[in-house]
Amino acid sequence: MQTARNLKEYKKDVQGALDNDFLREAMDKFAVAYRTSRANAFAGMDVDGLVSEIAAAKDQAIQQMDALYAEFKTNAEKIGIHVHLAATAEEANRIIADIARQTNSKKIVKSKSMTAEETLLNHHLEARGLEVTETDLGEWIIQLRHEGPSHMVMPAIHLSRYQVADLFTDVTGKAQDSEIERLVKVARRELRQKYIEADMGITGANFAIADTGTIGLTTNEGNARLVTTLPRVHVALVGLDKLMPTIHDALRINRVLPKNATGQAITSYVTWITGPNAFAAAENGRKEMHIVFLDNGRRAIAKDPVFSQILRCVRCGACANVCPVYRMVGGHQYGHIFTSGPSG
Amino acid sequence: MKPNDTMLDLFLQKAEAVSAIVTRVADAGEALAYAVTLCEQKEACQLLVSGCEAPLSRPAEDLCDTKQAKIIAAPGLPEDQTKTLDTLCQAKGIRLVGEGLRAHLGGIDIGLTYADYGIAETGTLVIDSSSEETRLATMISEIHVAILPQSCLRETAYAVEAELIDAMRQAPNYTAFITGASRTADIERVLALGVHGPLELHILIREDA
Repeated sequence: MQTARNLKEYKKDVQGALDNDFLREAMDKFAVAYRTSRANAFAGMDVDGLVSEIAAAKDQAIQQMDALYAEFKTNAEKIGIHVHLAATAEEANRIIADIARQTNSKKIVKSKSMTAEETLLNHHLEARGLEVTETDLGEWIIQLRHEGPSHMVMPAIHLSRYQVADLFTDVTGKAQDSEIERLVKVARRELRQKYIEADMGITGANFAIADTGTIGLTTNEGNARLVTTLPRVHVALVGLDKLMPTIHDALRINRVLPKNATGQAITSYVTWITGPNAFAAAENGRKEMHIVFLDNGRRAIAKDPVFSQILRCVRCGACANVCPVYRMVGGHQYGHIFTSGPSG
Repeated sequence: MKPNDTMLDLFLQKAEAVSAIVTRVADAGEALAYAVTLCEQKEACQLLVSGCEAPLSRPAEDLCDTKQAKIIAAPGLPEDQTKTLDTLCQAKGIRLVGEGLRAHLGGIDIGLTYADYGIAETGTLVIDSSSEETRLATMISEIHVAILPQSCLRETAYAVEAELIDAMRQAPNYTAFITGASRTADIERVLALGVHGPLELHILIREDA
């Protein structure tokens, strides 16, 4: 994250980013490739029509946020999910730390969540002596470097393979070469061990479906599947804006989300979780599942006639992908957790 | 129901576009033989699982050492097919595991499962993964082999919406959409397969079912 405290420092940081040849090349390549892959992914589809439908459905959901939360909570509690509502980021972090304490969880694996970035969840948990490991490859890399993400979908886009190789040399205590395929395999084995040790898994959610108390998670790596399967406890931190009435709403958003994010027709994994699933190692054979809904200003802005539009955001990151400023300097120069766009 | 050729073609095209390996098989027997041959012949079906040849930290190395045999995990197969598979595996010295996959988190060679539906529009498999064994078999395997009855092919995700709602109303439920192998492009946007889950996805379309 950019740390400048005055305009002079800020200009120096921006100049530094402009002079970073690796960053400029990575950003340029991505900006050009993205346009083509997105166009291909949407080929033959009525994109504008689909986007309008989603905007209308999101607008309606935003207006019914409180009712959808009540419906979700009723349905989820019926099937054994513990549902919490946090008014602020601090409260969400406190609730999750309390769950960790109550379940005697010491080690945590986490899949990527922009909502957890918003609440600075990891800092809070680590300050309480808990070990938190990000399992999305890009998130793990930036966590090890003590950085924030520089892009919502590709958090480590600002780093080179050589920087990653140096980092993994430190992590494993053994020299690593910079071949990408090999570095990915090292992460595979190192993180596999982390999943096994973990007591608790934390995820976000791309969708919360009020009708059935279901959450939907999209990933390419499949890390959310391991995070929600191997540890005993699952906690999902979910913004209230992710609530939608039915699975149909979620399937419709999912027609746009991956195409806009990376130009993929669909992500490798879309996981629909309804209730605490089987867990062989538990006494009752079930997982313990908590969902923490985050308000943090969402309920207030949902009532604003103009600004409620911000909650339409489905967190695809497409705004950054086409932003000329982002292309020049990357995400870290924005001076905030968020890199660009309405809520990304 | 026999899906029309257009739907099948679309499924093939979309699944192969995300590097899934799609093969049409006549029946269950052919599908089981495919999995065993794959385990026997493929380089991935070695004692050493992917990544274990790389320089690793001590705990990660120790986990690699826990894998001591060639393993096919096939939870949830019908009983008669499990028996047939077991005979085929024994002949090749492969260990067949149906449950207790938590004892094999170091890695397994092949996870063999059925898929409940195929979605042609995106080349996606829909797999009810409420069983922990199914979740593990499809995630900790080097290669996931999924058998898809041809009659279970649908055009879009909307076409399985009613079935999804039914499944979700019978909670707890864990349903997975799987499209291609586990992938990442997090280092320099270079595509790499097999970051956490399978390095390869093989789809066997059963023509008799």
